[in-house]
Parts: sequence; structure tokens; C-alpha cells
Amino acid sequence: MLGVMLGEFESQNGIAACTRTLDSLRVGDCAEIEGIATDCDRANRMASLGFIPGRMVRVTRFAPLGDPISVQLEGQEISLRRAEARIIRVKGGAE
Amino acid sequence: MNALAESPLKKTTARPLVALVGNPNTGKSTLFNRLTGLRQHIANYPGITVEKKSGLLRVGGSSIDLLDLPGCYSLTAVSKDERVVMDVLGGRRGFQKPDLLVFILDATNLKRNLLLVSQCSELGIPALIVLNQCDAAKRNGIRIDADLLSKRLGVPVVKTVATRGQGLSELKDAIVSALELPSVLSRIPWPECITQGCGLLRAGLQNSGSSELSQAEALRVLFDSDSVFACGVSDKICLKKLVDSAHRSIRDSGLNPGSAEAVIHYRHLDSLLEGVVEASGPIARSHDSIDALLLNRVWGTLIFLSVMYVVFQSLYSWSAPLMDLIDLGTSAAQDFISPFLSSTPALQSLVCDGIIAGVGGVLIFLPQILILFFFIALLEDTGYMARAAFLVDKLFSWCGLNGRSFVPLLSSYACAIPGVMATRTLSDPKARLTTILMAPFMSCSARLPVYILLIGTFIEPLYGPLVAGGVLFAMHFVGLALALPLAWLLNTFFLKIKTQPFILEMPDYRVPTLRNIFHRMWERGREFVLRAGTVILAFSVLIWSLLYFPRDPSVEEQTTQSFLREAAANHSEVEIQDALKNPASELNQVLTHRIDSAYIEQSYLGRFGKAVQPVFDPAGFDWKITVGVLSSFPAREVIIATMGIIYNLGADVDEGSDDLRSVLLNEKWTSGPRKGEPVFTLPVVLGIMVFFALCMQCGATVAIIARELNWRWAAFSFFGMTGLAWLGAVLIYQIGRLI
Repeated sequence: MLGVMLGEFESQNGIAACTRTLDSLRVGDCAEIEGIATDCDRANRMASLGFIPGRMVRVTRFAPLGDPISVQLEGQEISLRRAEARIIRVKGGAE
Repeated sequence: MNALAESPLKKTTARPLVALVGNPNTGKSTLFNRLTGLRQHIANYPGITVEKKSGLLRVGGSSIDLLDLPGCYSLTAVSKDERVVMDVLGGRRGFQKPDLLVFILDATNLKRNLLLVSQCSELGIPALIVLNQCDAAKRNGIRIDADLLSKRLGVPVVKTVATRGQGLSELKDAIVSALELPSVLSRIPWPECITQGCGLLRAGLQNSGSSELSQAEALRVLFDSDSVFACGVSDKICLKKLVDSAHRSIRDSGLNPGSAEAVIHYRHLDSLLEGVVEASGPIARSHDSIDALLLNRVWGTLIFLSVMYVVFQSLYSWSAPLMDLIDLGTSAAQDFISPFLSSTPALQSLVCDGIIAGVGGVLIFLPQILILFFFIALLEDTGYMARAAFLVDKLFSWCGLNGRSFVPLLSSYACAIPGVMATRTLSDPKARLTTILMAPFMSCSARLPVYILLIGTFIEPLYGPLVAGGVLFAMHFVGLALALPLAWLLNTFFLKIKTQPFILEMPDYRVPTLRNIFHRMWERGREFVLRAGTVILAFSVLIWSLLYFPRDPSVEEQTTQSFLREAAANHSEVEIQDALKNPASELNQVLTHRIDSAYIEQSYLGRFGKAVQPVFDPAGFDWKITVGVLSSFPAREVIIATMGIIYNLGADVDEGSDDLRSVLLNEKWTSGPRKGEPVFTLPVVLGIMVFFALCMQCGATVAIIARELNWRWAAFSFFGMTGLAWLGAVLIYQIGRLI
């Protein structure tokens, strides 16, 4: 199947129970992006910025007030709000 | 310059049109400035408030029209900026399709930058790739095989360092030869589910007769529900059905339709970049250790506060000498011109009090605008601005603003004009709109004289310096305290614009170049004078004429006669005659001040003020206060001078003037139910201050909002704030009277 080939598994019923979302990671945690939860227009935007399945993402820090968070993706430092981090599903544990 | 000014996109000249395309933060604008020098023209795209920068590139004997398109990450058209890019690239809405696209890519982050290129390959427009910031890539240990990249993409690739002007002549040559011998980007192989979906979509639309789309357009419709091409399709229900079924087949092959486009492009780019980019070892970025300090919970916050303190201080205090200089220049020009026109008093007043004062009133903003944009350019070019936005985003996110609103709002405490202009750094149109509307609520320095006058006269003598200081602080806070909840209300219930995710890319720290900084200052300063300055000048002349006319000579006669009758009681005939001959005598000055005051009372604005006084009566304002407030529209601080004239003291009073203070203390109602009572009671004084804190009695702010947004928003802002200010003043007066 094409999705398998491209490394993306889309669960039909949204967020599966066993996966976590990017906003639940702690500072220093590393995880692999599994997919984007919804197919809203934000999904397209996040994917355009490089949040695509198979890539590793590491949480580098939280802002002083806890939100937004800053992550490292393909050598790029990107800051996003928790509301956006919530739509990104990740797998893999803490480091 | 003229030919340039008249060359919008819809032109038919023989000059080829070249568009610069790229992500934000790639040095695209720097490159544009380098290529066009000062031969550029900044305007808005027709009908929308997206800035359009075009310029002329001269190579050898030929000229080329260069267009700097807004920076964007992908062709997904969410914001106005991105729609403009799509409109231009698609040759829609009467835009001329560019003859050549020059993609400016950040060499330190090639793959992400190539996404846009990959998307544009469908358009079939000839292209040229520029790898910018090659020095930074080298420092980060990234090596790029430009020849191999060129071979794989099918178009020429040029390396540059825009900030230092490296590779510019190669780029110019490449543009010329790409125009002569165009080559298009090689297309990406789409998976079958996409091509099928596209085919079905096109066929379906054609069958229903609603629209014919090209493959490239159909792809955009498929991946982007808000696509400009989708807007062009008449049968929306049919379109939705077709798109939904295409999405189903994409989902059936295991892809998320929302992210499928980016996923497919990135997979393609992974193989395309194989052997092209070589990174030596793990990328050790220089900014990691700096970030550890600058984004630290404690140190980062302290550094942020210090940086913002310096920015604010320089706006608030360091600009003062320059502003004083402009004031001096204005009055010197008035004094110089005045004698030449003394034979025609109306013309003399128009030129001196209307035009020269108006020009001075425009130029007075320049020091603050230039200083602010010096800092904004500095903060953005070094890469600190994105970090600052990261640090404070939470303070603003709850009410629909974002971290980038901080600098504009902070600057507005000095002056809303540069503050509103600074909102250009906000890329999210909704947050930008809200920030602009909130900026005039910040207590600008022009409100300070009013606070000082009223607090110094009525509050300090009664309650001591501690309370006075507290009230002054509260006055600076009341606008902010109201603005943020208002922003929340506006965002939650009224603004129908889609909210965009607030995502910041943390750029590398860079050493800024003076050339770039000065270019920004020059660009903004010029734009302000040319585009907002004219409107501000017009306001100034309008208010002048309302305060000057009808100027019936009988006003002067009557005032003089009644004054002479009064004077005769205390002075001998000879004394009065002598005094009137000597312009410097006290008696003569008192007479002049009375005549000025009578003229204001009889002017159109004075009559208008008297007519609308009943509206302000619930706030306890008499007609004098009302006229003072109305006449301060060209510039808030003018109210002090106007009050000086109205209270027979002449225009040369300031907020510290003892005469003005004692007049205010002794001012009594002359008619109506409150006859004989003092006008300035504590509730009235507080009401006036709150009114001034909340109203937008500032023509320049109205003008700049109209320029940055449009006249509808400017009117909304003006009337909304005036209404709110009235409400605040009335509430305070009515409650204060009860206590």
C-alpha cells in the first residue's frame, strides 16, 4: 500500500490510544513523528514546515510561561504553541 | 522613477517581468534591495493590504521589472500574502504571469526551502534557483553540489551571499540568460491516487460546466480547500463532492489528505537531494548555546526586559531632542514666513498655523519612526525578534494576539504611529489587525501633558505626590487593561478571519549589516511621509480652517469695546491709549488673548463644540473642554495650547503653566443648572483623563490605520474608541457625583 511505502499510517478513527502527541513530551525528549491527527488545513501547514511521518523531533525548551514550546526538526529550531503540537502524533520514548 | 511608479502588474511594456519567490527569512528582500538599489516602488496590491514591492533591474543595456513576492512556505493559500503569491504565479485577477521565477533558498535549510520550488514545478514557468546564505551553510558544515542540483532540477543554480553582495553579478547574468534561454523545473512524479483524483476532479468540473482547471490548478484545489482556484469555481456543491471523493481515494491508499502533498514532495526531495547536500557530522549550530542563555527562564527574561527597556527609552526619551529640533524648525519657519504675509491675515494664518504647523506635525513623528525601525531591523536581522516573540507569546495568545505584538504595543506607549507601522512584523493578518486596533489604547506620550496638567492642578495639591503618582501610573495602565479583553472579544465574536497557527522559525543569529538597517529606516520613513503624511497634513489644514473661519471682524470689535469698558473702570484714558499703542504692554496682551479666545468661540469648531456639548454634559464637560477635545484632533498635545487660548491666556502655555492651573481651579459654570459651581470637580477631572486615555483623538493615528488597513477600520477604530471614552468619562462622572 502506498501509505506504507511512504511511511505513513493513517488510523481512520483519529488519535489511537497508544500514541502520544507532541505537546505531551518533556524537555529533552526525542520522538518520531507518526502523523498528523486531523486533515484540517493546519495539517497541510504543519506538514509543509516539515512535520512529516518518519522524521525525528526533539523538544528543546518551553517558553518561560510554559507555552509555546520549541522543538528541533531536521536541524531547524521551530517554536509552536501547544495547541498546534497537539495535532502531531509521535511515537518512541523519552531519552 | 515615473515610469516605474506607473508600472503595476498589469502592464504591457516589453520589459520582462521577473518575480522573486521564497520562504520568509531567506534574505529575499536583501537580495531585492541589492538588485534594484533605490529604484523601487512600494505600494499595496490592488484591493488588499499586502505590500507590493517592485523595482527596476538594469543589466547592461536592458531593464527588467523585478517583483518581490511576499515570503511564504508553501502554495497553500491561507493568508492574504500567500493568496497574492498564488494570484501572481497563476496569472489570475489581471496579474501578468512572470516570465521568470527566481527562487531564493536558504542554503542552510535546503530541503524545506525546496518544497515551494517543488510545488511550483507544476506551473511550468521558467525558473532560476538562488542558493543564498552560502557562507552560513559552509560554517554549519553543509556542502552543496550546485551543479548536481541544477541537473536534477532542470534549471540553473546560482550561489550568493546577499548580505555581503557576493554572487550578485553572476545572478544578474544568470537572470539575463535564463530570460533568453528559459528552462523549466522538472516535474515530480505523482503517485497514481493523486493523478487519478486530479483527473476525476478536472473531468467532473468540465462535465458540470462550472470551470476548466489545468493540472496545476486542480492539484491546488485538491490539496487546499481555500485555494484561489477553488474560489473561482461556480458550482461549490459539485466541487465539494468531487474533492471529497478524491480525498477518499487518497485516504484509501493510506495517506492523510491533509498532509499528503507535503509528504509526497518531501519524499521526492529526499531522493532528489541524495548526493547534493553533504552535512559533515551532526549539525552543531552556533546558536544553541546562545539560545540556552537568551531563552533561559530567568536570564532570558531579564535580557528581554533590558532590551525592551532600551528600545522604549530611546523612543520615549532619546527621540526628544530631535523632536524639539523639529519643533524649533517649525516655529522658525513660521516666524520667517509670517512677516511676508502680514498683509493678508487669512493667508498668513493658513500658511503658518495650517500648512507649516501641519508639515511640522508630520515630521515630528519621523525621529520615533526611524529609531523604532532601526531597532526592529536590528532585532530582526540579528535573529532576536523571533526569540522575543517566543518568550512573551503566552501573555498575548489568550486574546488573539501573539508574541510579535509586543514590540508594536510597547512602541505605542511612546507613540501609536510607529507602533502601528511596526505591526508589519506580524505575518498573521488576524493578529496584525487586532494589534493595530489595540495600539491606540496604549497611553502615548502625547497624552502625558494632559495628565500632568490635571493631576498637578487638582490631585497633587489635595492628596499629595504619592496618590498623584499612583493616578499617573493608573492612567498609563487603563488603556492596556481594557485593550486586551477587547481584543479577546473582537477575536472571539467578531472577526471572521481564520486563525493561523503561530509557528516561529528560529533563524540563525547573524551579524546585521548597517546597509540593511538603514535601508529599512529609509524605506519606512519615506513611506510614512509620502503616504500618511499627506493625510495628516490635510487633517491639520481642515482643523485649522474650522478653528479660523468664519472670522467675522465684528467679533474683534465687540471684544475690544467690552474690554475697553472694563478697563476704563481701573485705568485712566491716557493709560489705556498708551498701553494699546505698545504691543508688549500687559493690557494689550490681555486684549489680544481675549480676541483670540472670542474668535475660537465664534469659529465653526467652537460653534460645533457648543452644539455637541449636551452630548458631553453627562460627563460634566462644559463647552470649553468639549472644544479643547475636538480641536486636539490633529495632535493630542494641542489641547493645552487650545485651552490656553480659550481661557484667555494665549497659546504659549504648557502643562506646567501656573496661570493655566489657577484659571482651571477657578473656572465656574456660567449658565445651566450648575451655574456658579466649579467646572473642574474631581469626577470631571478623572473623567477627562479617562476620556483622553481611551479616545483616539489623533488624526495621525487615524491616517496611519487607514493606510495600514483601510478607511473602514480607521473609522471603526475612531468611533469605537470615542464611544468607549465617552462611556468611561460618563461612568466616572456619574459614579463620582454619587459618592
